[in-house]
Amino acid sequence: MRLLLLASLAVAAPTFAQSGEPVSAAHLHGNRTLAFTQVEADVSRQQGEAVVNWDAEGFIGGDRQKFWWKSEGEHAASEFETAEFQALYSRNVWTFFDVQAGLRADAKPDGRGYAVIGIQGLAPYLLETELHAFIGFKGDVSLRFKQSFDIRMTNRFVLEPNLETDISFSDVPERMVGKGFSSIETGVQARYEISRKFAPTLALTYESRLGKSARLANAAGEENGGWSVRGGVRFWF
Amino acid sequence: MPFSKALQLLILAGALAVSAAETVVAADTTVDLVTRREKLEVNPGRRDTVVTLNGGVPGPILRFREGDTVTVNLKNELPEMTAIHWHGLLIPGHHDGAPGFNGFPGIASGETYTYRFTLRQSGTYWYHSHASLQEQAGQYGALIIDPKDGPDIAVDREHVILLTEHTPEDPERIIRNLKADAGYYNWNKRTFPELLRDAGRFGLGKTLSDRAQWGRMRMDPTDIADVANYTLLVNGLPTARAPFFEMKAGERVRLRFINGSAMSFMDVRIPGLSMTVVAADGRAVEPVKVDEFRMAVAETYDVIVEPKDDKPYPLWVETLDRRASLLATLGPRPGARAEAPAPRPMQVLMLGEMGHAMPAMQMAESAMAPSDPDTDILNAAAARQPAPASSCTPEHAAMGHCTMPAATPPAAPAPDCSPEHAAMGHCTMPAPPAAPIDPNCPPEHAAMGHCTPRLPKPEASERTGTAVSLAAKPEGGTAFPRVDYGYGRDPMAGMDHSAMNHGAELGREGDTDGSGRVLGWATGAPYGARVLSMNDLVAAKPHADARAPTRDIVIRITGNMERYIWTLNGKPFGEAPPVDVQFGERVRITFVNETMMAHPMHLHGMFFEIENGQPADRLPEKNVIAVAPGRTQSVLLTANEPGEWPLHCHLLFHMDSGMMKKLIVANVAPPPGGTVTPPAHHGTHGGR
Repeated sequence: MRLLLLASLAVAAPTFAQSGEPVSAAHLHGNRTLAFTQVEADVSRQQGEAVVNWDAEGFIGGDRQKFWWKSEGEHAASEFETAEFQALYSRNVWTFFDVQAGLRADAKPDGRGYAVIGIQGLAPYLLETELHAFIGFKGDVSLRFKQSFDIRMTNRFVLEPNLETDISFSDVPERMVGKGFSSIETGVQARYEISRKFAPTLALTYESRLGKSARLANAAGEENGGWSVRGGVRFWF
Repeated sequence: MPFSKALQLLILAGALAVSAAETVVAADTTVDLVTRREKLEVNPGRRDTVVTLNGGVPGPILRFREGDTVTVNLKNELPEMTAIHWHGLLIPGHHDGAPGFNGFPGIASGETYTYRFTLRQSGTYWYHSHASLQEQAGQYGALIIDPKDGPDIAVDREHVILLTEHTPEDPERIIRNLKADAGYYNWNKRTFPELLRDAGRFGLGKTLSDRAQWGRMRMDPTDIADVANYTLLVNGLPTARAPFFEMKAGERVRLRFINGSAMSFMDVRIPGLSMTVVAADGRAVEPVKVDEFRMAVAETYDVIVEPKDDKPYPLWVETLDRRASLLATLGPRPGARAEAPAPRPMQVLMLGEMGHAMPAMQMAESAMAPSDPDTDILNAAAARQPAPASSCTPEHAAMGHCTMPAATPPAAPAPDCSPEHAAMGHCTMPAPPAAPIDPNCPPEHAAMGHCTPRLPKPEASERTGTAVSLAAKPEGGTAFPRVDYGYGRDPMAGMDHSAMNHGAELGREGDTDGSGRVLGWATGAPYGARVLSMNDLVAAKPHADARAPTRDIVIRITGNMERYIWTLNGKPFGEAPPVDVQFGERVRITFVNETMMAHPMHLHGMFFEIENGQPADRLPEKNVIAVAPGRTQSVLLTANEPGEWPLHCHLLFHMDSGMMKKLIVANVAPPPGGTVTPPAHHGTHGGR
């Protein structure tokens, strides 16, 4: 909407000028609206199956206010295991952090909706950090925490240790999720920045259910996860 | 409107001599310019989209005479709005060329705008786009004004040397890339192997502490310049086109240097020739002999050279981040090319450079009380007077803090540090006993063991560049000398850094780190070099107005590099209140740089005087002053040009991101706490 508004302003600006109406210098400086999209996708072989993971996000907006969207999920054995989408309003509240709020919709493993509130930004020591709370419309509540860090072996070859963990405040048996730490995904991703915008990746990742969630999964005859080697790409535009 | 014949000729000339600047000699006088976007072969073998003026990059050299009334018709054949700003000219506000100021709306696509102004000055200036990012794409040119009464300096020859940069990228893409990843163009970040090398050199503990402190601040010590992939151009020509300037032995040659780049500080030298700086930003200064000088973006310097030999001399220009350079040849005949000297090492910033501004700010806020960090601070210092000469301690003198209006009674005894002084970082710790005042060796240097006496004491009559104070590397000294370009004072100079949590500095300023980078923003010039410092500049003639300022305006230079947001007083242009100044008022503007980059601060429409420690009536007049990372620099301004004037960082992408303020000079005294009625022909308050 804001984008449309700005676009119409830009179109209208010459008209103003011709009619002697002054243009505002304000919208010429420090008020750009930009779009950014980043996609990470990788393939691995887990329990004999080809597994595709994706993690994409992007924004449209200016320095202070943005519309953020995120999507992540997993595809294995010719079906989607998980698929979730978020649409968030993001506002730069502290120098290095945005507060975000919006909605999350999951298509898989089952259809669910959540209200989302959280923060995203750069923590001291250059840690990319996200912390989001999900309040499900079916009553389930969880937290997700993500952190990663760049270790530059060269200016193009980067090792990125990362951690993502979910903490559930409810039992959700349909999803084999129990109260407490329910899952962890951690490891090291190596990427080679052919350009800033395109890098092949190779990751060593440990992904597993935890605690009560693991017991629920075991009872249902599911694997809890484990180590995998994932090859993929990261690109943004 | 049909093109005038002159315009057709200009276009033709521009088309023939692709990027070589043509000179338009103007009498009393009309110039026609046309701007459009087209493809030019700037670098041989590669056609890039640029914004041309009369078919060329740069635009024609405009040469006028003081007293002329100039009419410039600018036809905009770009698909978007444009505007040309006459950089450094004393000019009616609505012809200054800043859209959104003084009711000037910019020039819409397809329109022709007529600028008309009478020249009230002479010197070396330039003109450039002040709309979107067209300046980066090539819309700029040199503007030279000859004095009314014939040449101010007798020379045999002169050259205009307009230094700019060319990028193959669309500038709109550059700002997008920076907003998405502020480190997008920095391929020189510190790596893990470098951490190991530093650990080997300085010890693991110290190295980890250094990395941890940078990490805690979320800043990158290798961020010297934001944008790369630049080719430097001189009058539109890259090194690959072997730019040549004729100059014969025995001649006295005036070189008019203009840094017309969007983002690049440049170090300029002509190895084998000393240069005498005679003007800065168009204004005459007492001659200063130098081997090199640093040009902040948008500055101009006139230098005189007198070659003794008929041989090719290299004109060697390096950007501050050392990622781009330019070699041109000055010599008796084209063909023979001069050799480039060895490039300088890259710098790595020191924690101390960064850490200083923050405590200074805390002091400023506690001392100056008003909660509005903006223009309110102004009133606080009405009573403040410059410290008179009699009470000027050596440190004060050395730091350039002593301005000496003869008639002013002592405002405060110097040993006492008034709150405003403290806030502005003007206070040094108690004087070391009887430090001798050697202009080349300020006590801070001495205290740090940086000084040995300069070898040949220059004759009293000859000023030389003093940015490097050491003639030779002292016993146990650093690989490179400490350099002080006079880009502001270190508010913490003389304080005990270790007590301020800056104890974990990796090495001394001028040391090299494990990977050959040299520590310190300003470092890189060699021992013994005569390098221009802002403190060396003295106005050639006394000013009419040497009053003490009646109040202080503090402009904090702020930003968030990580997100590429640049602001003044913490606010982007669109949200910042204007600074109101009474017409005829004399004010001090103090820039407090809280960022890790140097910012060339530029004021339209007027010259300010740099408070550089020279006598009050001889402070150099400039329209650009660079403020180094973490430093504080004050200027004095006699607000004698009514209008709405942009005050901004001249790094193009910083200004575009919001690093700009509106300074309003108005005829009506502000009611207490109220706002000022702007001058007659203002039309908009877009910046409010």
